[in-house]
Amino acid sequence: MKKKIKILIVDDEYAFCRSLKIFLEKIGFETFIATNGEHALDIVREEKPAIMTLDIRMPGLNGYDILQKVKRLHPDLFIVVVTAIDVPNMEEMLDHSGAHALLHKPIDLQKLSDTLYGFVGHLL
Amino acid sequence: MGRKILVVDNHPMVLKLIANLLEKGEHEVRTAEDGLSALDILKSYVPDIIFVDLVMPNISGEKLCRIIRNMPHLQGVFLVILSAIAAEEELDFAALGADACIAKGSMTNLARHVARVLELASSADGQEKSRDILGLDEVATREITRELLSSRKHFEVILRNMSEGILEFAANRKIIFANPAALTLVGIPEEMLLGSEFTEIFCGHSLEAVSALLKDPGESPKKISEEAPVLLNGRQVSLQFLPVTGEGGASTIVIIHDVTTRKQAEEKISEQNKFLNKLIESLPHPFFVVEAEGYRVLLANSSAQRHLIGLADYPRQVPGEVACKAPPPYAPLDRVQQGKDSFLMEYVEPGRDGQETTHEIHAHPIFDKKGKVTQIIEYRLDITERKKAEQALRDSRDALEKALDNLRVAQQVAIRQEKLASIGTLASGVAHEILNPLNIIGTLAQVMQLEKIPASMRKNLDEMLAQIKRATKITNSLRTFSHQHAFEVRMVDVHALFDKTAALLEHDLNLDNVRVERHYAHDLPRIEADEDQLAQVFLNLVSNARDAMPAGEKRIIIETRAKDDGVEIRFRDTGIGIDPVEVDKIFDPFFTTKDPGRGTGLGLWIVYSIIENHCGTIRVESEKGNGAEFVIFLPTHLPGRGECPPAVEK
Repeated sequence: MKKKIKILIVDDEYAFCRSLKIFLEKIGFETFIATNGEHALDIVREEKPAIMTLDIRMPGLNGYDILQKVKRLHPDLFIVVVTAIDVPNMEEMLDHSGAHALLHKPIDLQKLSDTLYGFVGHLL
Repeated sequence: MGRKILVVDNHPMVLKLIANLLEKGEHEVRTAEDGLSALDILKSYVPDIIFVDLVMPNISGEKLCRIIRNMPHLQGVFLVILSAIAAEEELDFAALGADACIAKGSMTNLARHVARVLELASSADGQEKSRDILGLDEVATREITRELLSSRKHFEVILRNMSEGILEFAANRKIIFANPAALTLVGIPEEMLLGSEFTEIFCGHSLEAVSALLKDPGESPKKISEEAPVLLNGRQVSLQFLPVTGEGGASTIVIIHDVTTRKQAEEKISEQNKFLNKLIESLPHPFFVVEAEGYRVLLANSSAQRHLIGLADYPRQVPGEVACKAPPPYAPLDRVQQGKDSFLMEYVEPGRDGQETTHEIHAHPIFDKKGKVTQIIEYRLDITERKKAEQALRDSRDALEKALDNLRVAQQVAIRQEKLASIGTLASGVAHEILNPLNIIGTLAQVMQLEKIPASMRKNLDEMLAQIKRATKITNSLRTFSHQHAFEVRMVDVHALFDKTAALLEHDLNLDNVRVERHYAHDLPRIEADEDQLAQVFLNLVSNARDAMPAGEKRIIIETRAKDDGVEIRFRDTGIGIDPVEVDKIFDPFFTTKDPGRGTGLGLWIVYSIIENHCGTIRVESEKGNGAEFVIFLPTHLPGRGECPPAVEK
């Protein structure tokens, strides 16, 4: 059996993490959940996922902090920012921080799977 | 026993006859040829009997009698009047104080009557006094004498009642006549005055003046004029000397005029004039009086002379000189005649050095009895400084008002911006908190759709997702302006920006059969603006216009025009228009006329906010059912923050 691609879901809303996990597992990914920054960094270290979905506004370490730290731990990690924040030039800002894609909440799962498959193809 | 007798008669023959007659009777006789001589004698000589001729030059017999009777030391003297006019004049000699009267007739008769009188005088206390005129029956009446006497009486009445004093003095300056007015003026009783030296009625400087005048040998009529009167008994008098040559030698009649009252009046007038002169002189501004016709200057204070002489036209002359040729440009005569009253006007004097001065001119007419203006009193106040001060005050008030307006506008803008900012902050927070649950619901709904579920449930999930989208749209709109992103100003080509924005919507517009017409001004300047925000304005207005045109002719007309300091952009559509009662509300947040789910009510509020951020204005012109037109003004250059007026023109 082919090894599943690992995705880390980072969001302080556990309900969201859980629903996203159901979807991602349904479309064939192995998922991990972290509801705060420290936990997320721990999982990155231990599981070395290929992909991470990242919320920006979180208590404790926020999305930007995690982006910076995670880039050092795992420069090849594919990062999809999923946020309710909508400020102008956000894409540029995230691009600059090393994020690969930006999706707005409420998330369109079709768009997410398109984005992920696009990356997976590149990975394979 | 011999008596002391004085005989007074100007007729030497009569005098000699009576003297001889009496001397034969061994009486002591003294004689005098006129009243003055008699009075001289009587000063030192007290006779028992005095014979007085009635008609004499200088002092008449009548007067002499009265004087004698007024002299205390002569009270007891026996006084006899000799009258040559007894037949013509009914003489009440007793009234004159005389004891007897003899009508002058023939010398024989006269001698007889004199003897009779001596008898009468001898009788103790004159008990046998005769009331009759002795010898009256012996003289005939002469008509000419009667007439002369009558005429004299007239003159006497006149003299007695004249207000002028009449004095007469003889060649030796002895006073021989004084009418009642003269007596009053001199203030000396007649009996003392007559016979005294004329000059002695004066004293001090007046005495010197009169004496000098009388000494002057000149032939011309002598006078002490009103202009330089002399003092007589405390009164100021003028004197007129009239030489008379007559029976008793040369004498002089003096007409005395009391000018005291007039002099006093004149002095009073002169003092008043001085006072008035001082008064107008004390005025620092020009004050003058001109004749209405010809503008001859009658009176001018030195300020008027100093300031107005040499000015353009009026009044060029000092008082008394010929008038200025041209009447003044503000025509005081016309004005006072029109108004029949004073007038007050402001007059701007060009001034020779080009320095304009402003004057307040007051003119008051003086009318004659017929109501015609004869003179005009004018005075001028130089109000140049006052005017300047007033102007300065007005300017500073205007400046203050403007500053206050600016402040008010700035305050309004600041308040609105603050309100906007706090709404934005709140909206941003709320949006984030709403979007997260929506996100979870949405994700779960999508996950559920992946399951094998009945068609009805799938449909419900679709509806759920549609509603989530709707809520998301509202939430996103709400926080559009909470974005604290920098306001990026660059020079924007409005036409190019609109074309670019319209291209984004072209597909939708074509689908809806909406035609966009462009009426671009060829000289439209680029303006300072945030391109993204302005694009948002165009987007919102175009999509609003599209939504307002559900059917019929669908046209959006954009028209641009260069203005003084900015650009005007007009968006017109052929849609349903705006209800007049709603016009005032269309820029309010959450106001919408669209069906639920179609509009957020934030589109025009965002437009308004952006225009406001650009210091522009927006107004709407619409008729229900006849389309709407939004008129936007945007300045070419953005002023500093807080300096914009409110964006909505009501």
